[in-house]
Amino acid sequence: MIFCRRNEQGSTILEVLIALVILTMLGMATWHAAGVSLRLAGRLHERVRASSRLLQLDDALRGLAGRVCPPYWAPSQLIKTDENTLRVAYLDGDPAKNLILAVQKDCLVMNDQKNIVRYPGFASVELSPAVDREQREFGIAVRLVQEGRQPVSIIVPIGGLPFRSRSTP
Amino acid sequence: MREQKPCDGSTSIVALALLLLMTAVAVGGILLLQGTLSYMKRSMSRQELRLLLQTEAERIVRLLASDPTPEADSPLDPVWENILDTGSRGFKVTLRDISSRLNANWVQKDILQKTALAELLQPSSTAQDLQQRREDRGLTTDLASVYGDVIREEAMSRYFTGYGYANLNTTDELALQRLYALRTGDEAGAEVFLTRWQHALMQKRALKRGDVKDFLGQDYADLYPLMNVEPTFNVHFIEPLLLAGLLSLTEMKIQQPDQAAQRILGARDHVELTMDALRGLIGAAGDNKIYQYLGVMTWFWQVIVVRDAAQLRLIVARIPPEDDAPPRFTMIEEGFVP
Repeated sequence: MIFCRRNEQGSTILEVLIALVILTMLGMATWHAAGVSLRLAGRLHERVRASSRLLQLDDALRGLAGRVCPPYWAPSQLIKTDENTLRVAYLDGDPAKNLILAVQKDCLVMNDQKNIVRYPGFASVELSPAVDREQREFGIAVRLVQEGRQPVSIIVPIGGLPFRSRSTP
Repeated sequence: MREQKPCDGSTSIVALALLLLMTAVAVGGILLLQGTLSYMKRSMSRQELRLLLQTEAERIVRLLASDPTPEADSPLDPVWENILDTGSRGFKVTLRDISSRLNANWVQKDILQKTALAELLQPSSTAQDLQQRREDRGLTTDLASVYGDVIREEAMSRYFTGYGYANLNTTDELALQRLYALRTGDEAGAEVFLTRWQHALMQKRALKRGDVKDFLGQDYADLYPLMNVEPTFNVHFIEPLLLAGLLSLTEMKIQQPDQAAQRILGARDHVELTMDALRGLIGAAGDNKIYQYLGVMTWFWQVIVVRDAAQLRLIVARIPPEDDAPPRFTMIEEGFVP
């Protein structure tokens, strides 16, 4: 005679329901965790991308400013600015060649009269000559504001300095 | 009850797929972060290296400024001994006087026409060609590209320069006119300035230190010290060929110029010459025009600091002393090759 206990005959509806509830809860928790992770990853990705873009911009600006080589006899007021543009002559030592920085909508535009590179995504961009304590120009100052982030200032020296622009200590 | 199984399996598959997705996103994020961090690290180490080289170059300039004998610069100054020690700190430093040469921007034709220095030009070129090139192309520090076919290649870096002050008594008049126009932006004023300069030289023969401020007048702030009356060449660093050539200029009326040159060359290896000592060695009167050319101070220095493969090149100019204040230098150029 086969003797069977009742609970060995298969799942009861109750057991199945409990299992389903547990699985559903696990699924929901996993789904929520995945959502949170994706949002975090997205935010991290955006921050890293923004930092990386700023670094690239900084490098590009330094490279271009380093190519501005005014001779020591050049006039001491070299950097010309108007509302949205900054212009420095003597790019590659040529008085007729200019480095032009411009603000167009949300973009900072760098133009070496050969290549034009746009850096978008700024709420505001301010361009001005970088000056020392004696108000002598020695480079370019760029203030960048991005949405939801602290403003960033980049100050880059130009590759040459007209006479008496900056005294050594 | 069997129909529950596919339901269990699909939930697990969904969970697994989500986990896989999350892993992929995490790996992508990590790779991006890693790339950015290594870019930042490279960028920062480049900046740190530049700062390190700048600090060393500025130390050299400070040594130049703290010269215990500021009235003369010679290889016997402490800065040179200090440079020898820089190797032990991992730097290779080169210091060079770059103004005690013929400045292609300022040089008058006579020097290249009436002395043996004419041989520094290409066989097919004359001093007139050099002057014409200057008129056509303007002032430059890139001599090779502007004067490459006028000046001999082997003479270019040794005997010529694009760096130096324009001495009002010895600079080519058209070059002075151009310099005036460049500094003030006033072309018409440059012609007036040239007329005034010709008139002053006719009256005085040579402008002296005390005359400069009056002569430059309202343009003093724009023109001084680029235009001054300081001797251009430091006899401690001048090439012997240039020294002999300048002393042999007939208008200087130096007696036995070759012997004067030998006396200077013999003395400069052992002592730091003062202006008085130099006058004694040349033997010409104190107001002789040769002292507009020959002096004992260096005005433009090139400092090159190398560490590993990185190089910082600095050009500094000494501001002519207006009183007894310690020497001051101003930075003219700075170039960094990582």
